[in-house]
Amino acid sequence: MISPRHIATQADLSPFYTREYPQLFDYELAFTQRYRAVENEPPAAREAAMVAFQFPHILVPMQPGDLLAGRIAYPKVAVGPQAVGVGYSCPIRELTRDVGNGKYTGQSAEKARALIEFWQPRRTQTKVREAFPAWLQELMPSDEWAWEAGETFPLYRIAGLQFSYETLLELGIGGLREQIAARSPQPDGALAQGFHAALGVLVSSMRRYEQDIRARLTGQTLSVADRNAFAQVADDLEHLQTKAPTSFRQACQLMWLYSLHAGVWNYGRLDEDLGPFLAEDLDRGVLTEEAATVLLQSLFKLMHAYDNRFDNRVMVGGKGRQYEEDADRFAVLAMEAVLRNRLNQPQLSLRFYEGQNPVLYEKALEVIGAGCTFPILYNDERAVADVMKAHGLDEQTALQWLPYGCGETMILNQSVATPNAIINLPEILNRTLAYAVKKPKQAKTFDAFFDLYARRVDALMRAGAFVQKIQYDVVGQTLPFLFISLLYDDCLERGRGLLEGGVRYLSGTNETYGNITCSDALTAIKQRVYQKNKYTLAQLKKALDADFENAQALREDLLRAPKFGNDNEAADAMARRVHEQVCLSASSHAKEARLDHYLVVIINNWANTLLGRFTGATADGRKQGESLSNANNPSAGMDRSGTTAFLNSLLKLDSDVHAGSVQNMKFAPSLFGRDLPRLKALMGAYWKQGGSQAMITVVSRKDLEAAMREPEKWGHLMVRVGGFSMRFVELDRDVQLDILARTLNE
Amino acid sequence: MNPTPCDLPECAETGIVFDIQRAAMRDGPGIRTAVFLKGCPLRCAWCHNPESQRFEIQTGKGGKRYGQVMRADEVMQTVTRDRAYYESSGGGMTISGGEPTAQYAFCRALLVLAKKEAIHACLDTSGHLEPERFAALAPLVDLYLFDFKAADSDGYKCLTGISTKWIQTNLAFLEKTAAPVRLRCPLVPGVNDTPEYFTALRAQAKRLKGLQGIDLLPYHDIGNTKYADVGMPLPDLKTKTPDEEQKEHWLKELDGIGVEATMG
Ligand code: SF4
Repeated sequence: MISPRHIATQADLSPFYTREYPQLFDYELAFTQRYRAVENEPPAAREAAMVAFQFPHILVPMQPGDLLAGRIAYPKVAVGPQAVGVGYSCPIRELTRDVGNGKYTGQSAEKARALIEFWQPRRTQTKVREAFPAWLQELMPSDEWAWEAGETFPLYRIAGLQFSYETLLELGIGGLREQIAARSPQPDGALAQGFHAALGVLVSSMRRYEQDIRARLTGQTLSVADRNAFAQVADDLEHLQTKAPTSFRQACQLMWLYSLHAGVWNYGRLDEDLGPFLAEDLDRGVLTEEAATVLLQSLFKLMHAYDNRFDNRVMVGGKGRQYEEDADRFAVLAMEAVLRNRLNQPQLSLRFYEGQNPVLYEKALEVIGAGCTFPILYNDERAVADVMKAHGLDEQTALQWLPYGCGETMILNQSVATPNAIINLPEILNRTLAYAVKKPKQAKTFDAFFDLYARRVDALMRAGAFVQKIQYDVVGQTLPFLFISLLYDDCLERGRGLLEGGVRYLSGTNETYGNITCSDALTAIKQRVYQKNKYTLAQLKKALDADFENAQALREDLLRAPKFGNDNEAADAMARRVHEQVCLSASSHAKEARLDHYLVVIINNWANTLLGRFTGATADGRKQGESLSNANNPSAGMDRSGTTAFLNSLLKLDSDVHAGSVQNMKFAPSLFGRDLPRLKALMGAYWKQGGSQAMITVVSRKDLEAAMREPEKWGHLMVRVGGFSMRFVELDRDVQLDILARTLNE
Repeated sequence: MNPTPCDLPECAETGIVFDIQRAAMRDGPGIRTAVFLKGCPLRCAWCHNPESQRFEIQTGKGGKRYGQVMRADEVMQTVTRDRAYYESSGGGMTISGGEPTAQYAFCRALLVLAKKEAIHACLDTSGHLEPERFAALAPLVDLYLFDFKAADSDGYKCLTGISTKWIQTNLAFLEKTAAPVRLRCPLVPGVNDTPEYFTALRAQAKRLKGLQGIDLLPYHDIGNTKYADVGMPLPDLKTKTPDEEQKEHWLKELDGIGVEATMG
């Protein structure tokens, strides 16, 4: 286990546990050496060996106040689906930069260089990139999406992994071992052996925690409260090494340690999995609601420390739950725990439907109204049908839909749906404009111009689909993700790792950025250039290239053109056109790329700001470097016609042609105070008209401004950025400004 | 501008609108669309919509245009877009101003259309309108938001420049018909918030059998910059924006009034 002096914690504001560098990379070199020794083993055996090596070194001992064991500090070189990188990973770019800028000197620089040299050709990311055929290399020349302008980029990771913990919690580790023996087509095969080895790693991690705790209990350093809590954990861990959990606390403990080992960042339907344990303990009187809430607070703090601000989804509520009543009890306590913790993670989410226990929705509004930004709301009346249509699935399957990360949809236990490409629509539009200026004959009408744009989008979307499949294939050949495959449906019976034919649905997604910036720009081009002939494409391009320098009047004219978010026919119709084109383009390429689904996600974390930094001025009047619009939302501050107009515009974009989009709403606190009945009515009408999703920040402009002036006083102020929440004061200034500029609905 | 005749009796096809606010939360019950008609015969000392006073379209010094000619059906097209929200909240349309009834035929047209569309209609008025016309609008109005600006006719004369003759008759009409009404009370510290004002307000409240509530609207100076923009001198009001304590005090004055009292 990691010794505390090797961890840098900034647990207070940013939860990210990192190893303290420069610590000379001794662990990374040892990991590398181990890898060298097993490099040519079959994938399952190699993964088992590397996981066995990795976990003893990266587990962090229980910290004061913890009620459960399970913290991790990720090293620079690692194995896993996505935490450090995909598969076997090493952050070459970051290391190269740090060696270059003198962060590492002398011996540590030497060691860093050795790591770079070894891993550059071997890490999984490189292998994925090398597998791109020439035509893909040409369409996606760069990986540096956060540092360069570009139309589309690949992303390297396997995300969107969510399994049910039900089997694990019901059977325990011993029972799972029996399952492997009973259900594997080859009980002695490499994969089955890998599963056993993985469970062995989990057991030894438990043992390590247990031993560490028992050793600390003999000392004098722990407070009385910690002594009691830690002793309990040690007993639980001892139990769990051989037996199935028998209490809510043990179930939480097992679920959590398993997740850390699996490297997953999203947790399925925890209310279903943990609710029955909770209900039984409450009914037997061995646990109070208060104690359960405090335990959940601790679990959620561990998720926060595990840190992935873009993931960490805990879903409660919704259709298709087997143990609904128990799950609802869990849901209410989970919301209470989030309210008390006031952290930006986990991203608690609520699915709801007509006929669901109304207490859940009421509680959700209370927690949102307190400024937590959680839970994120999903209307199952709409969402289930959307998933059926977009994924082409039957209702029974679609009932198990879940959002992960920033809000991409997937099917619990049955699909993998990683976003492995991003696409910058305004950049494509600007390049289309440049092309059209050179070849005016091809852009005589607006429809012809739009067609040029659409064709380019389609070509790049097709590239994204192929990149997706290549990444799945290369990763699938590299490692089976033992912990994940073991709990995913089908992998065990098929005797195949997740990505080598194990998972039922191979889905892929492409993150689109700046959709509305692009559609507003197209509206302006259509009206100003083609309909009113106010200026030519060449004049427009010249003004954009100069970032509107000496073209202020032109910019103001562009800004006056109709904008999405105002229930305006022209602007909204264009948004629909852009939306449909990009969504349908994606799904049209699934088959030829041999994917079950390929869909767009319009979820946007804060990459709308990052990509905006390198995107030139756009024809909606946006200046160079400013944030692109976020997800399906209006460009910040451009929705000026009232909340209902804003919602009506949102409702015009079909939600059944993609795998998730984000509806960010910023409401004044009064709407959750004296105007709560109006707020309920407002949202009620939104849901009724087909609204599928809402994530709500409750904040006043005054507070945001004060937080920019005196950040030290406003550490608690939480905002929804894109598909994730952050403490406002921790955001970069341009992201803060983007949020400030978004319309506050009062 | 002469209102264009239209086929609805006593209705104008077009009028001058200076703003349409959707999702208005403070202009009557529920979620509403507030339609602001330009032009007002009053000159309230505290008016925070000076751009609404003149009847013609104006261009501010900063280039902003105040007012546009709109057709009644065009306005209704916007209003009906939010039907779902009215239904879920018990909201609807509010016609406001300026003094909306000053564009009588247009105001009437909007009310007629709202009735046709079965959209709840509030009329936000100072009450300064010929009583015959006021009564003629009555069947079209679901709820009056009726201003109560000063304690007595002298106060009105001096603070708004008008005689209260029509207002008193129209209030009496509302008393007699028990029409649903909320009293809207702009309160300007040191100007109209006198003990006599609250005495008069309480007495008026008692006489209105259809009274549903009293909305106190504390003075604010947010509209002040607009005076310069439309080339009007800023009225020399010896007042300041009220603090919480002051607001509490005002609300206390309405203790036991028997209807809901809200603070703007
Ligand atoms: S009635 Fe209203 S618009 Fe007219 S002057 Fe008074 S405050 Fe201004």
